[in-house]
Amino acid sequence: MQSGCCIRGLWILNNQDFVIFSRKFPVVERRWRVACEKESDDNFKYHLLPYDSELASAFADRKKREGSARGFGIRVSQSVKGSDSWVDDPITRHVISLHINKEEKGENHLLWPLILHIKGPYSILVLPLVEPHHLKSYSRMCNRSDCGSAIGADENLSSLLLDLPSITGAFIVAHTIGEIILGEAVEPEVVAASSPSVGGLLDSLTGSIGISGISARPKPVAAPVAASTASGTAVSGAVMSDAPKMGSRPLDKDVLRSFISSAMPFGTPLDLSYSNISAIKTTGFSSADMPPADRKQPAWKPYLYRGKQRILFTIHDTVHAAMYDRDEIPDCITISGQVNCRAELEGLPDVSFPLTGLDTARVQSLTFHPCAQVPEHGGDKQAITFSPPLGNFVLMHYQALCSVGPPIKGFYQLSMVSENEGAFLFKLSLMEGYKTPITIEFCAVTMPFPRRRVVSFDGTPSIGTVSNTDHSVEWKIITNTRSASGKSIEATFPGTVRFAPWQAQRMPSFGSAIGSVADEDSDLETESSSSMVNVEDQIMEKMSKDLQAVDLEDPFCWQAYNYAKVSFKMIGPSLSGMSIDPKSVSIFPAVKATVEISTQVTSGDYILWNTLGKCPVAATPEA
Amino acid sequence: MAGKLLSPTEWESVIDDYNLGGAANLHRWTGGASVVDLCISSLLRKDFPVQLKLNLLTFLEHDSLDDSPLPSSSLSRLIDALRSVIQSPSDPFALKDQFLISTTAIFITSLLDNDELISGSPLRDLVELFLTIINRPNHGLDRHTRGVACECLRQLELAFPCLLSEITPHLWSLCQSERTHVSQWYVLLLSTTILNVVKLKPSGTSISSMSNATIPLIPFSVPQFLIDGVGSDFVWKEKEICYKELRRVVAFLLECPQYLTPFGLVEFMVAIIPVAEELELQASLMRVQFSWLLYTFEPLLCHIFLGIYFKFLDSFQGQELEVASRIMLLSKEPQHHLVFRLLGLHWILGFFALIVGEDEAKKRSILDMSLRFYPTIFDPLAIKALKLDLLAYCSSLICNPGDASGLKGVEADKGVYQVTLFKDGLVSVSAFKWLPPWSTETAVAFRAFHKFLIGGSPHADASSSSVGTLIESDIFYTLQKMLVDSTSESKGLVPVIVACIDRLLGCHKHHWLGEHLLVTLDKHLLPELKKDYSLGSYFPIFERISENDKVSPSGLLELLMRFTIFLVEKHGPDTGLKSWHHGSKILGICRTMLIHRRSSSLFTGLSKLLASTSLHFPDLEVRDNARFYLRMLICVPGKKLKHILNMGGNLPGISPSTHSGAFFNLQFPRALSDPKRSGSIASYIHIERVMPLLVKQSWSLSLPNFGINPDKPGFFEGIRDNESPSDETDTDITMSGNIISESEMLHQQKEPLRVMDAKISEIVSCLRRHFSFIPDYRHMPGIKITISCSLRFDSEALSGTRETNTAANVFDEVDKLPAIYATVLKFTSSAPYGPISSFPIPFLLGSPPKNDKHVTQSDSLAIVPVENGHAEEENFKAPVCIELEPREPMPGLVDVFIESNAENGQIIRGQLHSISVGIEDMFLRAILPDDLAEDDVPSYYVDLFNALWEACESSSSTGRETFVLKGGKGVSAISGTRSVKLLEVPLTSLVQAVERHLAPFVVCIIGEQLVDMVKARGVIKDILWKDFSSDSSFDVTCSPTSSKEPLYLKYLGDEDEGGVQIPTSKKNIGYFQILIFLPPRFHLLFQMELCDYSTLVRIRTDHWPCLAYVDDYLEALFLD
Repeated sequence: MQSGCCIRGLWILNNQDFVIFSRKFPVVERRWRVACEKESDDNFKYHLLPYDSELASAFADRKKREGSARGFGIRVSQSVKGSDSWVDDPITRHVISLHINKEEKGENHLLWPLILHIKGPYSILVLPLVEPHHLKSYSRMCNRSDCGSAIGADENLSSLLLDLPSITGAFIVAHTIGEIILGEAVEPEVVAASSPSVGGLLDSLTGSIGISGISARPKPVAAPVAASTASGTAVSGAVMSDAPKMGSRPLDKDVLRSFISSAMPFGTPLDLSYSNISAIKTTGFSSADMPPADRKQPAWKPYLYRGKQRILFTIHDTVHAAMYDRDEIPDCITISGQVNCRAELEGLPDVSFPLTGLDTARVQSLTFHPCAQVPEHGGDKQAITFSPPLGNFVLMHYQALCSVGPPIKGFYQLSMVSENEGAFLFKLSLMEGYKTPITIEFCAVTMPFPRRRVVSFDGTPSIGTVSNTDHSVEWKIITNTRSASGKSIEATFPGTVRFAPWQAQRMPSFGSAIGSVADEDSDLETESSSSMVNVEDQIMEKMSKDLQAVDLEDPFCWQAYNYAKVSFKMIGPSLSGMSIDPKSVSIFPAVKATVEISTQVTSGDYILWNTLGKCPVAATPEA
Repeated sequence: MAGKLLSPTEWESVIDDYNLGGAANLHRWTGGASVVDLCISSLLRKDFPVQLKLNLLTFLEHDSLDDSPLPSSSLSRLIDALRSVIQSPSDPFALKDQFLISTTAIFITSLLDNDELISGSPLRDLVELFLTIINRPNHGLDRHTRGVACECLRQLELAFPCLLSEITPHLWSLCQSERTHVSQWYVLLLSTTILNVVKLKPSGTSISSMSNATIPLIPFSVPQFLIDGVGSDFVWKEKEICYKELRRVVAFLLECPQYLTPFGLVEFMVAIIPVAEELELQASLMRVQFSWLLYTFEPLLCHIFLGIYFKFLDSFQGQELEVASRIMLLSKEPQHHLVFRLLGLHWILGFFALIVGEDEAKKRSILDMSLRFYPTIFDPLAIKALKLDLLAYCSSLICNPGDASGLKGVEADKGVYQVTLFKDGLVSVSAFKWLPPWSTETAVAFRAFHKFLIGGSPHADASSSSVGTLIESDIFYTLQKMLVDSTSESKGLVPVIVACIDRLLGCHKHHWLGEHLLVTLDKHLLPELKKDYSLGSYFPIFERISENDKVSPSGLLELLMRFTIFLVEKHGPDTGLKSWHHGSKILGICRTMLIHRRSSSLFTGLSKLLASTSLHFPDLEVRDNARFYLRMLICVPGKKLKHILNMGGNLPGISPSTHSGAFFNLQFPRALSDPKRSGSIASYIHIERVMPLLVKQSWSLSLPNFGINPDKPGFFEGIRDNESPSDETDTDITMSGNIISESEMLHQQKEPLRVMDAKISEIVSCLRRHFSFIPDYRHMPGIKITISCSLRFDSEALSGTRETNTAANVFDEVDKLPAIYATVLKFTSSAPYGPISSFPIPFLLGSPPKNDKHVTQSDSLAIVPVENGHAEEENFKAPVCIELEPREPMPGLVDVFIESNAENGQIIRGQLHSISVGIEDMFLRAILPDDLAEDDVPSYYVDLFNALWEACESSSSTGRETFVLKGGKGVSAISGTRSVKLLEVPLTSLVQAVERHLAPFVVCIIGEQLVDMVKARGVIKDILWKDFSSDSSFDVTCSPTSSKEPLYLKYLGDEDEGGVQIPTSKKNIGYFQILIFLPPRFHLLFQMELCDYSTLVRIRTDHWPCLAYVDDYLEALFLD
């Protein structure tokens, strides 16, 4: 905590490894220079920040050395001493180092820690200020000659990271910038009874101030909740997350520049709220914006609301499940959720309500917005008090076990009857044990086959409709709320699916984290050793041969398994038990304001593993 | 302003150029003018777009980084420009804000490099400007600009500590009154100022009170101590009132965090924590004030909390678990970006490392948490990896000596608990067992293997005491078993496990772990493997085993043997390529073994494998190479062999099929280019006879031969009988001489038979029999004589050529010696010795340097002294056999040429000293007929002797007889010559000399006295012993000789010095009869009449030229 969080510089590269934006902060850089000069020795001295061209080539070099922009992350056989993956820690895919070659001086020096955040086609690099001894320590770590650090005993990255809030801060900076350059800076979704979703800060501002030009801003499209659990759905997409995903609009440098000069004028970030900053930039302040008479206006609330008062809460459960239908592996269901809030209240009131709805036995974690004050130790009568910021915000996050049984139960079996044909059977029961207020809005099951092309399928489900794309079969069980309100549903779907002949995919040049071990023997051997029990295993064997390595950001190699993914949305009380009683919401100083509460339950990674195939598991502790 | 004004588009290019390559690119734009001045004038232009102006300001900031500090005048101009912009009503706030910021940044960078400017007016003016701006609390429109100005002041205060210390009271009152959202900036400014005051303790009375401002805010003056330098006593502490005031300020500030943004809070904490420490605020107060940070979902706030936690560790005593589990939540919440979840786990690890120490209770509480560290199914692999780290950490806590009993779930056995942790943790990536080896799951799993493995013995731990306990631990056992099992189940894991072992082997601390794993694999994996084609995948492991000295090679060799058998059995038309492939791989392993191990440990197994491979393997190349290796294994000693094999083949990952190429891919052989060296190879490579010649000098041949083209045969003519011209050219069949061509032979056979008496016919038939076994060298291999020599070389001479090698390899004493390889000695001779086959020597080590014994061979014909040869250690000598097939028994010289390879691939080529061949080298025993019984040999020799003796009598009746040689194509005649030689040597020494040099050729000894004497000595055996009387024929045959006795006596008396010997010498003690065969088909017969002090040798031969050498020989034999 010596230095807080300061940024020496930041760079944005496009997917051609060309620096398209850079910003250096001379005041912070001065500080670094002074520190370096104090600690300089033969091996360590101050180096100027690299110019854009130098940085770009260093970045490209690293990419070449480390296989991808992010790198291997853990030490593999291709790792070379002095590189990030030599340190053998997954976080080196995010906190990277660059070797800067100053051509004219013939020197090569280490630039660390660079926060790498890849967003769309852009790579954002942020260089926070650390102390020289941190850099020296890292340099020792990536040059150590032994087999890698033992946990907790040798010099390691953990203690460095713990010592450096500037790295944490730099990540937040990088993420904020990422959202800005892609225009994705969105506020959490709050559902009101009157309209499906209400806008954010600007809407409330413009509504009150009446500037029509800004209110024409497009509504946010993607809810952040969905984005955070998108890993499972992205299966069939490009495996390399580094690859550019979309044709992007040109980077709006002026927006970025003005954001940076407001958020971190000297390289020290002070306020990264893009919505606040852009509101200040665009609307400024008028003489009507009087400061509150008695209280200080928080820095995160530059404007005060004026207008009709109401407060909205949206409780959002996301259900994650791994359903195995096997005796030896227990199913695993967890709910992560959040309470979004929008407080259209005048002045600076405090809002509080008790968290009685949550069964403490089932709640695994509760975390809150910084505006909230919570009792230090949660008891039964836990109450939350908060002074709401303007616009939509996430009040709290929670994780809990399911209070009732899983909403969708059953099994999925897929058996390959020949190399190109599979027979499958679904037997599902929806909403078993659920009572009336809970209704299911829609429910669909998708069988993804990312590595096989679906030619046709055959079979009729007991309920719903089926369609297919090139790489998946989708079964829409419920599309209409009315058709399935308040009763449990049994659904079966036997059928067969036919694939185009299997073609071994040739490995792209990348793809092996361990080492490209194209074993020339293996092809010969499978024929000779025909001890395979059945055709299924043979196909599996064949298919798993050219599976590509997934990124460390994935939970496992999705493509290695057969599974069905359930997606649904339910309305009614939350499954986690999280609820807010509108009557118990109190506002101080007391005002008359309507309290609206909505709840929705959606599916996250809700996976039915093929009961007849392989499936990933994790041990669950008994406690 | 010399430079022209740049247009907006030009500015864009300037800025782009600058960003890309720095200030060096600017000159062409500015034309030498000051960049600042150019910018200022552009900034003041009304027609420039605001965005460009903002760009220009950033550009100026960037430029201030690597440009030399600005002069005071530029700074003043900058302030003037700033003022005009600030005061302009038309300029937007964005520009004003940025101008304020950029000016401050430029000031800070410029002033810090130039101390003198601090006291100057620009800084004062700038501060005054800012103070004017901020001195309007709660003012509406420009509130954000006020915030920016506060931040500018704060940065100045940070850069010039205590710059604002004297106006702190004003700042406090401003801070108290500000109520808009920019109050954060006032708070930060105040806290930073207070921090500097508390930290640096400026002296001076002007800041003695916080409540009463004694100095006006404006005009501002830079404090004197900043100019003089700071650092003296903190005066406030003495004044209780002032100190109290300070506490009040801090109490006010501590109420603020709720109003701050997270990043604002970071800056706030940086300032406030040291102040709180200085004021000795109660830590519990801090705890109450800030513990809410831990309950937020902002990672940054959690991190700040950890900062406070470590600052006030004591006051948080007992809360470790609570804190740890809160941080753990960060990693569990899926809404966080992965990075923050990873950071959370890292913080936990760092947190544990900081708190745990030696405290058993804390260790136990961490272990209590261990269940929460299990990876869950949807955790990204990066998280799984770090959670496995945490489990490994727990495991290492258990395995450290200490008491883990009483822990939940650990009661039973901590080893078992450790294993549970490992196994349960690994479940989440258990797919590594069947996914391809490059899968990320595999990488994570093996990373965890590694962490668990070395958990008990970190690198930082210098002691090696934990080695033993680690090996015996349950976890180690489980790890090994898991590795063996999964490797035997899935061959895909082989490269991964090899990489894992390599990693351990490469580590100075954990080398032994790698070796231990190899031993385990050798012991448990090898027997498990199926001996079929799938074995091919395991070769990388075999490679490691074969490299490592710690693992016995026998298991592997046995496996390879069985694999070879399998390959041989399976070989068919379809498997040719496979056989070759696997065979090459096997040989690759053999090669690795040869390189890395002591030959002695391998010899039996490896030679068996190689031998059977070279015999039975279906593939020709493999067979060849196996033979090659086998030969090297046998011939070349250990370390030299390693060196050879290593050459050019030391690249990692060399493909097995090219292993044999290592022999051929040496650097381009260069002949030794040093003329001095190449010219005198003979001076350091020596070839010498094992048995030196008795006749030291071969007068008849040596002189004309020396230095003259040896091919020229001219000099032979003078000493040769034209009757027996041995053919110089083998192919030329000469009709003249004793060898008669076929046609002539036929013609001769047509001659009418002559009458022969019984005795003569007996002689003739004996001779016929004898000659029929003498090979006719024109049609078949002739009779060969062998001259044993030895080759050695001085190591000094070659050591210079291999310096690079000695530097790279640590050889022991002997192995520092150079060696030569694949030496081929070629021989030529001018003497009629027929074709001489060259002699290969695979390997020869240089003889160690000798201090004083230097063999100088000034005379090329000098014979190497005997003692020199024996003194050498046999290690450094290679035996050389020169096989000659003489066409004529005569002494001569054999020229020796060497061609060899030095270790560095240099080719050594040149002529060595010639080897002298003496007449005694030609001495052979007569060829025995095949059908002769062993018992009949002595009598056969006696008969042959007698027959030849007769035949060589010049008047012999056999003179015109011809004898058919073996093969029946050539015939030979005998044309005998006689000679005598008197040797005046005592009886015993003569007998000794005969025994030493001529024993094999003695066919008969006559005379009781001599027989008794020789028999008693036991050297000469298996001959015919006769006494004078037993053989009546003796007298007859001897009579001519005995009749010459008076002549002999007379002759003896002529030159004898004393008559004393005469009577005794008369007494004939006995006879030696000696039969010597001279190749190709001649004979030399001695009959020695022995007396006490002299001996008469009667010589008969069918090759008269040899008499010349015989004379010398006998003299050397008996008289020296």
